[in-house]
Order: sequence, then structure tokens, then C-alpha cells
Amino acid sequence: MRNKFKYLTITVSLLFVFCSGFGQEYFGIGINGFASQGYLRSTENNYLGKSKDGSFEFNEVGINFQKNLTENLRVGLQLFARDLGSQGNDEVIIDWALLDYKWRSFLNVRVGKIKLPIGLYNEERDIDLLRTSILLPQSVYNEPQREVLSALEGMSLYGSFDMKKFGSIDYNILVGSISTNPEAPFIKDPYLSNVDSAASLATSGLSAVPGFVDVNSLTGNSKVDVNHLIVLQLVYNTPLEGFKIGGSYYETDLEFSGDFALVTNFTNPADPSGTSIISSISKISFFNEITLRSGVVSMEYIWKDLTLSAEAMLQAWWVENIRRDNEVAGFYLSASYQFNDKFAFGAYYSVLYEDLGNKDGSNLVALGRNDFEGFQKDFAITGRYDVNEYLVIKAEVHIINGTADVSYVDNLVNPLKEDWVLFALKTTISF
Amino acid sequence: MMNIKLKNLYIVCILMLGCFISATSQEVILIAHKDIGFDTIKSKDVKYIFLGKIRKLKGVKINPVTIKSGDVHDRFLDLYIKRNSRQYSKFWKKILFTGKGKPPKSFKTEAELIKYVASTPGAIGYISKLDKAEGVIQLKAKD
Repeated sequence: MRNKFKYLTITVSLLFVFCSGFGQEYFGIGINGFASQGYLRSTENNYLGKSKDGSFEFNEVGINFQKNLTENLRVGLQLFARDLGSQGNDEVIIDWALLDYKWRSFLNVRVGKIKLPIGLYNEERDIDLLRTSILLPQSVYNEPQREVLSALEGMSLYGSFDMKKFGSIDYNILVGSISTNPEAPFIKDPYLSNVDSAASLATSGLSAVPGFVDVNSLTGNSKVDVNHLIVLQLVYNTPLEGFKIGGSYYETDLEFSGDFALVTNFTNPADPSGTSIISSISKISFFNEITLRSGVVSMEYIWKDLTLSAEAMLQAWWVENIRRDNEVAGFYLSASYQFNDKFAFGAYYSVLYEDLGNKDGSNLVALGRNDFEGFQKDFAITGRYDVNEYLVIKAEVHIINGTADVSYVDNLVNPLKEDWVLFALKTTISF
Repeated sequence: MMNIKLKNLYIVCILMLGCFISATSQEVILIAHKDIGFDTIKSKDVKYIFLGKIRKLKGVKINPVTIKSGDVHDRFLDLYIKRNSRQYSKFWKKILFTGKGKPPKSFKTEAELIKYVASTPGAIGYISKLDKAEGVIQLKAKD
């Protein structure tokens, strides 16, 4: 798969070198692409990879092909690969691939693999050159969920209603399903956390039993099946030029299943030396039905070279088997200003709560976790420099309090720290 | 004496401003293929056409075309689209890279654009001078 990524990178680079302008068209097929490379380093806590030591595992490459088959029918496909710590690993995927039939401005249809319009920026999150910041606010655009909530396979109805002097309304309705990668941290992290919890529980339960030595875990398989996904988005373009408000909602049923084994070791009572061990293996399977409902409300105002935006997100999880619910919530405020053709500056403040009913994380202490794992407050500032039409360089600093979005797996060795700073650099070429 | 000089300067400034406004308002001329079937167009429709929201107007399939860069392009975007060239380019890159469509065909020179509009039914574009625009008609924009 690494080789495929290499070929994709070489193809994009060669096309970039030979392109004289933005995009190229051969036999009516438009070809466009982008490639970016970033660097992450944090003072504490590994975030989105092994950032404490500095991580270059932060890149994106994409190339797309589009052709108008008839006046109303268009076909297109984008190949994409990315790496962000344990996410993506430069595996080449079909980012989107669709047939788009435009009938009227108020009613059109797409079928295939379609990007998800969640919030204002989810569809464009792979394309670094479209925004000032390097990382989108994680309270609404969570990176570990990105592999799952990027695109669906199904169909979409969309269009726009002109309301004359009252502005216009854009709508988008999508129905379909999602193919998930069991190695994605969104799936793998909770699985490994469950395995560790089961091993700890067994250890504490057996510790008083004479001859008990320890419990080891053997990982097995895990997967998430998305039965269906429905996404609705409405955006109201107000009569005030550049000001829009919107709302998106999605609902999905997931099946989270897997298995693992626990190896329990006792000393052999028949062996007086105590050196021989008797082991028993217990294979454990689990199956959870999960309902996820989420909504995002959004606002964006573009006035000349100033862009202001704010969004708030609520994500409600319901786990059927244990009849337990949880509400994750977050919001951000963002401002970006383009000083001239070359330089832009941006800043945002983003807040994420892992459990809306326990914003200070105090309930986590009883579970042996830190209270600051219940929230993450992130103040970020970014400088963007457009070298020319094709090349962008960015630098960003995040001052962070809390670790709600920090990966359990990436921080097994070192204890989490509440206050930390993340530095990010990124450069992108596009054609 | 000073008052007279100031008054003269004021008049000169007003005249220059008047010339400037007159010049800039004439900088953008909307043109279309000669068989397009109408010669006036609402400013709002121009905006929707060049943002890809409208594909047909008065029963005619519209094919918008742009100039890659330059004063006439900037002026057109400012007058009709209410965005600058960077914002307009970003708007279409978003459409392009998210699978939602293709941007209008663009040309380096006005001569190339005129030639395309003249030979393509439904084509609409903009230029700075009508002098050498053969085979096209001028569209008058109204609010």
C-alpha cells in the first residue's frame, strides 16, 4: 500500500510540474490535485501521532478526474491518501466517486461515494489550501472520527431555493452507508481500552485467590458496521452579503463487535518449587448496538477580507446492550483576516466536553482517570503565507488545557498532562 | 487667493472622481453568444450563474466563462459576485476538490474569451471594451 501511495505522490508531483496553470484538461477530463506535508510537535502528550518527539506523519495527497458526460450529467472521482499518526497510514482510498445529475437549481441528485456535509467545513477538511488554520477546531471536526465521517456510499438530493430579497436556502439530504477500517483509531482505540479494562477487572477480582499470578490479554478482531446513515443540511444565505447560518444533522446505527482472550495464570499447587504455572484461556466476544445522533449549528460571516465563524456540536451516543447514553458537546469561535495577497492570520478558541453532563470531568476520578480528560480547551493562532497560486506555507500554535481528545493508545507509557502546547507546520501544493 | 485655489482644487478633484467612476463603471461589459435570445440580465442571475447555482436562464443552457486574472476580472467579481479574486478562486477550488462540480472555463486574454463566446451557444463572459468583440452581443445588467 505504501507503494501505491508513492505512485500517487509521484503522479501528483509530475502533473504539478507539467501543469502551466490551475488544473488541466485532457479529452474533456479535468485533472486537479494537491499534496501537503506537515509536522507536529507537542510539549506534553502525544496528539495525533507521536508528537512529543516531533512527527512528520502528517500528509495528504489527492488527485481528481472529472468529465461532463452530457449537459446535465457529470462523473468524477478523487483518489486520496493521508497519514496522521496511526490514522490513514497513506493507504490510497477513493475519497469520492460519483455521478451528478443536475436537473433544476432546486433539485439535483448525486449517487456514489459522496462527501458528508456536516457543519460548514467537513466536506473540505482534506484540502488544507482552502482554510487559514492547519487543524480545524477539534471540538466540531474531530480528527479520529474523520475516517468514519468523511463520505458515505449512497445518494444525495440537493438544491437551492432563491427567496428573492430574502436570500436563498441550500439543502442537502444524503442516505447511505459507510465502509469502516477496523484499524482506524476511532474503532481500534475503544477496542483496546475495552480489552485493558477487562484484564484489569479480572486481575482485581482474582488478586485475593491463592496462587494467582496475573492476567494477560490477547487481542483479536474488532469491527464497526454502519447499517445506515442519514445526513441533512440546511444553509440560509441571508440578504446580508457574506452572512450565512446553517444546521446539519446526522443519525446512524452502528454495530461494534469484536473478540479478545484473557490468559489467567496460577502457580501449580502440585509443584512445591512454585515455578510451574497453570494457565487458562478465556475467549471473550462482545457485540454492541450503538445509535449515534449529532447536530451542528453554524454561522459564517465574510466581510471583505475578514471571515468570522462559529459552530456548536452535540453528539448523542446510545449503547443499546448496556442501556447507557452519553452526550459529547463542543463549540468554537474563529476569526481570520487576509492582510494582502500573501499573508493571512487566523485564531480560534475551541472547547470540547467528553460528557456534557460532567463538564469538569469530576466523575472520571472515580474511574481512575484524570478529571482533565473530560474536556479540551484549545486556543490556536495561525499564520498563512501564499508563496504563489500553487504553494501555501502555514505555521500554527495551540495552547491547550485538558486531554479529552488525546488518544489513549498513543499515551500508554507517559502520564497525561493537563496543560500543553502543540506546534504545527504545513505546506501544500495544488494544481 | 487661497480660497480660489482650494475651490479650483475641489472642482478638479470632483471632475477626476467623476471620470474615475465613469471609467470604472464602463470597465466591465457583459457579452453573450449572439443567439442567446435575450439582451438584459438580472445582476443576481449573473452572480448565480458564475457561482454555478443557475445552469439555465430563460430556457437557455448557460455556459459561463471567465478571464484568469487582471483588472476586468477583479472589477467583474467586485460588481457582480461580491467577492475578490482570491475568494472566488477558493470558492471554486472547494467545489472542485469536494466533487461538487467544475469551475467555469477561463481564458488568459479577452481575445480568447471573445472567440470562445462567439462560437459557443449559451456562452456568457465579460470584457473591458466592446470594440473588437465580433460575433457576440452585449448584455445589459439590471438590478
